[in-house]
Amino acid sequence: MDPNLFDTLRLELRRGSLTLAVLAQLRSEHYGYTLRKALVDLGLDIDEGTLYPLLRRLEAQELLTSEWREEGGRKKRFYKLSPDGRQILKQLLAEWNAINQSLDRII
Amino acid sequence: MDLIDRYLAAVRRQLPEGTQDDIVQELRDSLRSEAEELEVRDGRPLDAGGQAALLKKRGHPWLVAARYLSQQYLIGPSLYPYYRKALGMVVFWVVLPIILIGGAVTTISSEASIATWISRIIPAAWNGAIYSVGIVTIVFAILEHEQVRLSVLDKWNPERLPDHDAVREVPRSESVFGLVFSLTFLIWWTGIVRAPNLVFFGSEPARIVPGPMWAPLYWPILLSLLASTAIHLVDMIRPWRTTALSLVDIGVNLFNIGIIVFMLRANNYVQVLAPADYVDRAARAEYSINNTIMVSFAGIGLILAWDVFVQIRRLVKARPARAHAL
Repeated sequence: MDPNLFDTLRLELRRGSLTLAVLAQLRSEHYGYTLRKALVDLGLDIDEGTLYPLLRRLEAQELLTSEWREEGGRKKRFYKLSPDGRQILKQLLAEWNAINQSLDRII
Repeated sequence: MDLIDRYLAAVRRQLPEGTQDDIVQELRDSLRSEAEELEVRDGRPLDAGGQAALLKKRGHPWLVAARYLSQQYLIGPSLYPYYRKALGMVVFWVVLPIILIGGAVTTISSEASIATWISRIIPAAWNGAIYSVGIVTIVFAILEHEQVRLSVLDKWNPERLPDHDAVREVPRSESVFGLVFSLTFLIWWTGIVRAPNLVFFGSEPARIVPGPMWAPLYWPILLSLLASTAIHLVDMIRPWRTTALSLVDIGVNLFNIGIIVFMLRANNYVQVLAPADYVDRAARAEYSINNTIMVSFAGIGLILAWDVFVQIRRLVKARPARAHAL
């Protein structure tokens, strides 16, 4: 068996759920560093190399809005969910719950 | 400039213009925030070793920058199997003639020791293989790019698929091979790439120049190659042959047969120019090359004639099937 197989499958499993977690967490405003800390504190480890490009992609898809503000003597980029993002998050959560229920029955 | 600034400068260099300031400023804030947290935890400023450990954890600047770029393939998964197949076929059909024809010509025109043979044919075959790989790769990279832009494989309608019995589906491998081959010939014909020197007299390469019979054929052959390339490209994108395209293909093949018939009436395809000491050997090499070209084109003419026959038979067979369907 390929020794990296578990890591590959784990990565595939996490990929979609990370997007969902980021969207859900951005119902309240965060900048990148505090967002990552909040996710880690809630048990979802995500590295910066994944998080920051993901934030940019979600913003390009108009699911997030962002603005630069100064805080603690440094300029920071604050993100929050856009109206479209709220709509998509609602749909994704419904999908997630349906998958969860199905998996519960299957497993 | 501390390590973090140097790191951010290295990331910036890999990012597309227009996004650099935004991304780097956000990364800077993230790195500085983490550094400050470590300083609070340890109760002292972060030294160079600490900064290096922090940056190492973030990853190589190239990798960090690459994650901001959209995923791009030179040759994507949908074309890759055909790329490998075309690569194998084209390299084989370029290298094999160089070894066989070049080997025969070298044997006739020089002392033909094994060492001489190897020192001339192997580099020529190697160069031919490298050119082929380069051309095939460029063609597929263009196809990949255009496919993404045109979304050819996404925007299709099952209802437009023709009757399988009535019209031929051209295998993708056949159209890809034809496309690469006609493009390769086109590139050579227009002089963009030159064939390697295979004939030597002593240590000097011979000059092989085209005979005068080619002058009136330059434009007809160029036209034919452009038409063949276009037909293979259409076959590649839309592999179901329509009657109209089959008729165009038959027309191009008949045109090519006409060119070949004209060529077979001549026999001075190339002239081998050599120093005075090697006139006899040059004459033998010229005779050998001209005969090889004549036999090759006669063979190609027969293949084209057979193809015309097969295509006409297919069209004739398809007509009753369509009439029945109507």
